[in-house]
Amino acid sequence: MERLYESQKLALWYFWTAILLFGAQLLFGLLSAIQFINPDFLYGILNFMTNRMLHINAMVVWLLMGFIAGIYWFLPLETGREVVGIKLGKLAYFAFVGAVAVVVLVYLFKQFGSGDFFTLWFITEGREYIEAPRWADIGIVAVALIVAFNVIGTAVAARKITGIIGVLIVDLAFLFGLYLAGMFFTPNISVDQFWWWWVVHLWVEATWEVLVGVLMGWLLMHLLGTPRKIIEAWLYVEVMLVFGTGILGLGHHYYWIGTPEYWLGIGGFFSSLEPLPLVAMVIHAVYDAGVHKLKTVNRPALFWAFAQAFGNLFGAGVWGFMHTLPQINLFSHGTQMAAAHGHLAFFGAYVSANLALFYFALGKTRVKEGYILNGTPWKIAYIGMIIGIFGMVAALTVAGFAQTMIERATLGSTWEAFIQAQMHPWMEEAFKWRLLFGVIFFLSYVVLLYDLLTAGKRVEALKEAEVVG
Amino acid sequence: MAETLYKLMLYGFLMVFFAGTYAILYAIGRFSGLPLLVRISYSFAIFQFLAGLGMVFSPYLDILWRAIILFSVFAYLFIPPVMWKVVVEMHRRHED
Repeated sequence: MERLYESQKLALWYFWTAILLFGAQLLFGLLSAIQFINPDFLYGILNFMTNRMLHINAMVVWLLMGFIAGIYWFLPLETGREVVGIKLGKLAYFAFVGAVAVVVLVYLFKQFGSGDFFTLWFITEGREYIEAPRWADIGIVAVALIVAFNVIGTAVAARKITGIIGVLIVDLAFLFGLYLAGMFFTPNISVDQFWWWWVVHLWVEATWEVLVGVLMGWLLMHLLGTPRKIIEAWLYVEVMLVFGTGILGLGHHYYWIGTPEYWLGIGGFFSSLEPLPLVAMVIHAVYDAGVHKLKTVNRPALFWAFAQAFGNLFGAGVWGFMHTLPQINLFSHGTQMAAAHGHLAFFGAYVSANLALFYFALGKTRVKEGYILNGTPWKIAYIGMIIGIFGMVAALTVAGFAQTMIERATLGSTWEAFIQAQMHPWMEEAFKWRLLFGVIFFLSYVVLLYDLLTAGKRVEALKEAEVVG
Repeated sequence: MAETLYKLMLYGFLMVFFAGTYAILYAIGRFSGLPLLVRISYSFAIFQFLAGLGMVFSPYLDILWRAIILFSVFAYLFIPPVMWKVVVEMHRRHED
C-alpha cells in the first residue's frame, strides 16, 4: 500500500462526505418523486419545493466535493510534493461541511423568508438551482479560491507546471469567477436571468466539463498508464471543443429571457455542434478500452470511467440535441424533457467520473499492490444504477413528450393546459415508472455504499482465509 | 403543430443516437480488425444522415436551420474516421 500524502487523506474526507451527500440527494429525489404522484405526501411537513431544492443542491455540492477530492488526490502525485496550504485546505473542508449542514437545516426547518435582505443573506436567495443564501455563496467562492491557491502554490513550490496543471489553473479561475455571476441582482429580469444562466449553465457545463477532463486525464494516466503527452494533447482538444461549442451554445437559453433575436441563431448553431466533441471522446474511450483489453487492477474505476464517456454522449449529446433547436425548445423548455436530459447528462458526465475517482482512491488505500479490486457488489451497483437512470430518463422523456405536445403545442401553455397535461395518463404513468426506477437506483446506491465501505477488506479477508486454508 | 414537433424531436434524437452508435461501432470495428463491424457502422452513418434529412425537410424550419442541420449531418459522417485517425496518430507519435 502506498504512503498517503496529507492532501490525499483530505481527499478521502471529501470523497466520503460526497458519497454521503449523494445518498441525501437520492433520498430527497425519491421524496419528490413520490410527491409527483401524491402531492399530499408530507405536505406541510416536508414540502415538494424543499425536497426538490435539497435534491438539486445536494447534487451540486457532492459533485463539487468529489471534484475537489480528485484535485487533492492527484495534485501531490503530479507535483511530487505535499500541497502547500494543506492546513488551509483542511480548514476549508470543515467550513464547507459545516456550511452545508447549516444550510440544509435552515432549508428543512425554516423554508420560507419574507423576501428581504435578511432572507437573501441567511435563508435562501430564492433563485432556482442556486438557492444557497449569500453567506454560503461567499463560502463556496472562498473554498474554490483556497483550492486554486493550493494548486498554484504547490505547482510554483514544486517548480512544475504541467499542461494538465495549466488547464486546471485556468479552469479554477473560471470556477470561482463564474459563480460570482449568481450573487447579484438587477431590477431588469432579462439582465438578471442573463447572469443566472452563466452560473446554471456555463459554470456547470463549461468549467465542470473541463475539470472532469483534467481529473479523468489524471485517472487514465494512473489507472491505465496512458502517456502524459496523449492525455495533454487530448485535453487541449477537449478544452477547445467544449469551450468552442459550449460558451456560445449557452445562447439557446438567452432567447427565452428577452435578449436580442440574434441569440436564437448563435445559440442554436453552437448547441447543435455540442454533440460533436462528445462523439469524438467516445472514439478515444473505445480506443483506450481496446488497447488495454479492459485489464486493470481496478475494474470498477475503469468501468465507471467508460460509463463517463458513454453517459456524457447519451445524456448531454443525444438527449440534449433532441430539444435544443429553438423551434422545438420554444415548446419543450422547462418541461420534463429538460429533466430527462439533466438527469442523464449529470449522471454520465459527473456522477460516473466521481465514482471512478473514488474507486481509484479506494484501490490505493484498501488493496495491496497487485490485488485486483473486483467483486460482485460493485457490478450490481453499476448495472443497477445504469438501469435505474435510463429507466428514470425514459419515463421522464415520455412525460416530457406528453407535456410538450399537450400542454404547450396543443393547449397553448395556459395554467389549465398545465393541469390537463399533468393529469394525462402518459404523464401520470410516467411518474410512477420514474419512481420505480428511482427506487432501483437508490437500492443500487445502498449496494454501492456497502461495496465502498467493504471493498478491499473483503479481498484481504478472502486472501487470508485462502492462506490459512 | 404537435405532430410536427413530435417528428422533429424524434428525428433529432435518432440523428445523434445513430451518430453515436456509428462512432462506437466504427471504433470497435477498426480496433478489432473487423471489417464487417465497420461496414455495419456505415449503415448507422446512413441512418443518422436520413434522420437528419427528416429535420431538414421539415417545413417548420427556416432555411438557416436547415443549412445548420445539413452541415451537422455531413459533419457526423466524417467525425468517426477523422477522430480515429487523430487518436491513432497521437498514439503513433508517442510510440515513435
